[in-house]
Amino acid sequence: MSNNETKIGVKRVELLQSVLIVGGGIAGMHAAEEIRRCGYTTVLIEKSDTIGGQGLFTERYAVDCEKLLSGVEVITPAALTRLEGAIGSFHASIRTPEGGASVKCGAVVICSGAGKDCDADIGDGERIVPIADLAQAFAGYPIKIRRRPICLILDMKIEESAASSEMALDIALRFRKRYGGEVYLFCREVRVNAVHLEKLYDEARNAGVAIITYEGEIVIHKTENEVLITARDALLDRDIEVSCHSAGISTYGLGACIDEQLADIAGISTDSQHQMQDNNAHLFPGLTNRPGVFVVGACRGQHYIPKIITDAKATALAVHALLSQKYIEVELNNAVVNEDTCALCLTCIRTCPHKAMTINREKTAAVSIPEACQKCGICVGECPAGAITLPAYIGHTLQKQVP
Amino acid sequence: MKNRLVIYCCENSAMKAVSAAGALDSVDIIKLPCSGRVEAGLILKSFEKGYGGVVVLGCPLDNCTFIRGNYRARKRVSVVKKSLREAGINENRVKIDFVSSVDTHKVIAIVEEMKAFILTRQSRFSPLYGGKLL
Repeated sequence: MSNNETKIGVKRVELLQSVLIVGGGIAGMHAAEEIRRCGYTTVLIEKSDTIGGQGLFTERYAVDCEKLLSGVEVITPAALTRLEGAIGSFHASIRTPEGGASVKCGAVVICSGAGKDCDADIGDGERIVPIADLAQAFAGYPIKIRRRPICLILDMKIEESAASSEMALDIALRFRKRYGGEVYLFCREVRVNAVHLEKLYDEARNAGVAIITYEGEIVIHKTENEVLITARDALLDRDIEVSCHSAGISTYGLGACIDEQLADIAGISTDSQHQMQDNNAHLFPGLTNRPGVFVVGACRGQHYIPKIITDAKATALAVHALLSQKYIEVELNNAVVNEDTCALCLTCIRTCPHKAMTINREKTAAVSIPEACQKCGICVGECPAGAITLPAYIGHTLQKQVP
Repeated sequence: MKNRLVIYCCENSAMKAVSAAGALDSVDIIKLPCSGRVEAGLILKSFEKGYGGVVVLGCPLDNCTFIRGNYRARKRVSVVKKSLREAGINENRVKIDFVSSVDTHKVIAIVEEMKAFILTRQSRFSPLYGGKLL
């Protein structure tokens, strides 16, 4: 039986001209604005009461939320509870204090941010604190202590983003100018690959901030009246020890910050750093394992705000490129489930990397969605009952190839 | 037949590398849409038909076109290894490796290594051929 002789049917899938955006932070707002300007019905949901997210705390990137979101339907507080369907016609269930609501959309953009709970248990809350809390901790000390050296430590677990460099340089410069004490900045790499970062770096260097690039482990030892930091200097190639009054630790790379539950609901796989978007060369920025679902911003590990904004706009254009087609044509050579042998063990639903398998409740069997199925055959290999076949690669023809 | 190999190739990467290697001696090649398509049954069936060894070639890890296919294949091959061990067959008769489409030299090295292994003494004691020395 040769597959070339059989004619493959084509299904026309209409793409709904509306987009759901999950998360109302910097990324969400910019993506929403850009998508609305492309002419799509845009719905933005945010789990907290206020729109703005972490962007509210940064003066440099302050935006006018109202102006940005004019014409966008904003629902707060609301949480995504379910995302069914596939590219072109997603069916999202939303939970609000008044009850539930549902949104039908052609594409979903997830911009849930990094979350803030992850920095709760770092340091001792007194002299070793998250970098952002350092200024607050210092405000309470007498002037004599404020002049003592401080250390800022980046990249403790993983290499962090330009955002952590920006924040650390900003804080180091401010400390140096206000109190005049020595400031040491430990990092694995100085990330200054942006216009104003380069300037900030120069300014910090000229003000006398000591920037030390280290390799290997960094050890923080706290004694009664000082904090000792030992690390191996990458340039001098020897161990150095710095004594300071207090240390600030960057929280960007520590722990799983993202909302794993949301990733589960949206059917997006996470990488080893617990960021939404698999670590895979075929996934370009913004794309996920589930066609039609996009991710932007801190939830996929980008913390540097100018880059987040660029990402959000680029993703909005990717959404536009998809939805402006109005419809897509898919070949009907997706995986076929034999309803008699399918025991509904859910193995295929669990293992399908594209979330293309759903349950057909009338026939009590699994069924693949043609527009989401990528014809990889992973479900065929996994199915314990052998109920799934891929029309282009039928099992017994494969075995016949073995002479 | 007992000195022959069968290679299951992912058509996105390994197939290109294998076809660039030209005609490989005493090797049969089967094209799959993704290395994740191999079934445990398919591999065992090859042994049943008398092949001396099975090689599964997929894309490099974190570079699968279908995101998790090569991880699934690796898991399935380890299951096959376990069942071969229980059946008293040397588990190294089945092997999975990850190659990109330009790794032709790597494919040739894998095939040569596997062929050499099938001919070694330790692989010869096997219930595959009635427990006799080949």
